[in-house]
Amino acid sequence: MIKIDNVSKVYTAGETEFYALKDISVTVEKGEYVAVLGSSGSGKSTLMHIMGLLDKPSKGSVYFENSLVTTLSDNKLSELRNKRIGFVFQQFNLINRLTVYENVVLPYFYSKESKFNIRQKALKLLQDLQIREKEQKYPNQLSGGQQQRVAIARALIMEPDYILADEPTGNLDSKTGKEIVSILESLNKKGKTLIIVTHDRSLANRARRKIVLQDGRLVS
Amino acid sequence: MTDNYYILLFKTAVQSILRAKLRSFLTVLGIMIGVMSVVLLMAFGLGIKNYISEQFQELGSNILYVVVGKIDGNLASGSRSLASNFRFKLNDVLSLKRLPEADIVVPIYLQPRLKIQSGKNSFYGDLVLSDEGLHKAYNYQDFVGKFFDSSSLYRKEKVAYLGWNTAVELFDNPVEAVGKTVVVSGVRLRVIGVAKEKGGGSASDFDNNVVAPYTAFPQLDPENNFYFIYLKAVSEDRVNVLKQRVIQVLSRSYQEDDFSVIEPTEMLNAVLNIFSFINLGLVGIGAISLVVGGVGVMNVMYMSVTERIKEIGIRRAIGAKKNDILLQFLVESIILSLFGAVIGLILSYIVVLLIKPYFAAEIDLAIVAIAVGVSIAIGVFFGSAPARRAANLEPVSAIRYE
Ligand SMILES: Nc1ncnc2c1ncn2[C@@H]1O[C@H](COP(=O)(O)OP(=O)(O)O)[C@@H](O)[C@H]1O
Ligand SMILES: [Mg+2]
Repeated sequence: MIKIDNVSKVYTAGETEFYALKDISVTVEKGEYVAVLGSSGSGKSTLMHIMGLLDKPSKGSVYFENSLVTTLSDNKLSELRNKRIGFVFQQFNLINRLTVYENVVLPYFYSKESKFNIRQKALKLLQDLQIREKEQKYPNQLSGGQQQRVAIARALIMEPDYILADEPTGNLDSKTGKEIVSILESLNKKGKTLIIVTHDRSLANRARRKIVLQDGRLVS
Repeated sequence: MTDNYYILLFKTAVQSILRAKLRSFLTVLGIMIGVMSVVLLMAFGLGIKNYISEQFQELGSNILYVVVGKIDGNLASGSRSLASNFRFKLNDVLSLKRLPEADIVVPIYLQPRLKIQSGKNSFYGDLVLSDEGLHKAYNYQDFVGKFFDSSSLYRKEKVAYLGWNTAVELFDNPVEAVGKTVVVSGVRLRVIGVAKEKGGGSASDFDNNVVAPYTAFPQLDPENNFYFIYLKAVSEDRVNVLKQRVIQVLSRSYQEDDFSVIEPTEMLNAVLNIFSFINLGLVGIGAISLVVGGVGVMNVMYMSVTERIKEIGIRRAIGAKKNDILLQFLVESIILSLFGAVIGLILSYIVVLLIKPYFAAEIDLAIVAIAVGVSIAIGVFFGSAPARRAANLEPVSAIRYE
């Protein structure tokens, strides 16, 4: 469960205050499939970053599974992002100087764990995502859809409970976008909590629940 | 296969260094120059140190010198009363010769810078009056003829043994010196031998000597005016006993301040101490260029961090802790400066090989270890500010960075 309670995010530029988010309260239960819908600049990414423990609210509280996030150390937050949350971004956000394989196993390295056979696991994931043969390629040698599959593999490598996807189809053609969405939805069917951020109403309609933002405020 | 965090860390660092080749090259150059100046100064220091040690070693290790005046243990801080008027007597020498621990006891009288003449030729050399043991004590090698023996001493023969330079200056061909006459202080001496050249650097200018039995110059009264006694112990482990016995014997007749018994090894240590101190100062000055190189590393690392803000954000999003980011940039700056150090070491080694025939210089394992250690320290020291900046970036602003 991720609970956002009366959260605001304020940016101040000199005298003026700008509310990227204003008094937002949202709870996402485990196993849910939620879409965050809103036009550009409405605060979707800000909300997702706060839910994904990348950002902190200016006001209000955030709970990650009953822990008040403000009480957690930076190391603990890193550990939660590493083990419990998988991110998928519009720009794919792969590290271009690392191979596909290295990108996928990087979270495992940061976990400093040795609890599973990482190579076998990574190759299985690449296999499932149909990019097994791209293992030794570099991201810029792949198509957008393939890069997003690598990003999904990286998000899944630590077997997280939450998948947070920020405009995952925004840089893809509609056919490829649909493929990526169906991959994400299949993960939700296997029990993972899925939060998709989008400005695409028809994509948002596929979710079981919609959170609609407008100018930083919750509309519905 | 990069199935290891540290291999990947290393690979990432090397890649990022290679990505900006010119910039990295200039940085490496800075470290390289710094390492070279430090390593070469240390190499010269070590070379000269070893050279001095060798010179002393040649004297032998079971040797004692008895000298006039007080030299307190440490040459570096001590002041020798050169002005001492005190001299040893022949009787002292004879008493020392009776010590069972003493193998050779040689008294030495010295008149520096005397005019030595042969026919029309003349030369300013040092008159050394001693006994037959000096040949062994000074480790003279005969070029031609021989040294005088004890019977020459008893018979008060007016004979001379010439150092190499003396012979060359007085006679066109040193081989012909034997049998000729030289005049010193109005005394005519018959040359009986010439020593091979000893070469520079040793404790005294052996090559400029003219050596005669102390009995040949009664008018100088050497028997009451020895300023130096050379002793050789029967074995190395008797040196300390011999030293105590010598002090005992001489203390019966003289004040403690009149004389000193010194071991050349002690002198060696004193000389080396002074020398190391000077060398350390020079190396310290050389280290300034290393600091300049370190500042270069810092600059490049700041650039590297700025160029990779987005990447840092991605890494933080997928679970990198602050320390992971810190380590990543530290590894990069350490590799950068270590690379400079390795090239600097290799070039220094080549320089040392090239100048070795003309100038004492040596690189040993300790110097290599210091160079490597210092460059790692530079990498850590100058890399840590940029690395901390990278580690302390807010994850969200880093990942939003375009
Ligand atoms: N670091 C920041 N400083 C100032 N304004 C920001 C910052 N980050 C985001 N914003 C603003 O907050 C608003 C919401 O941004 P965002 O959450 O990215 O919107 P969305 O993802 O819905 O397009 C935007 O107007 C954006 O310009
Ligand atoms: Mg956005």
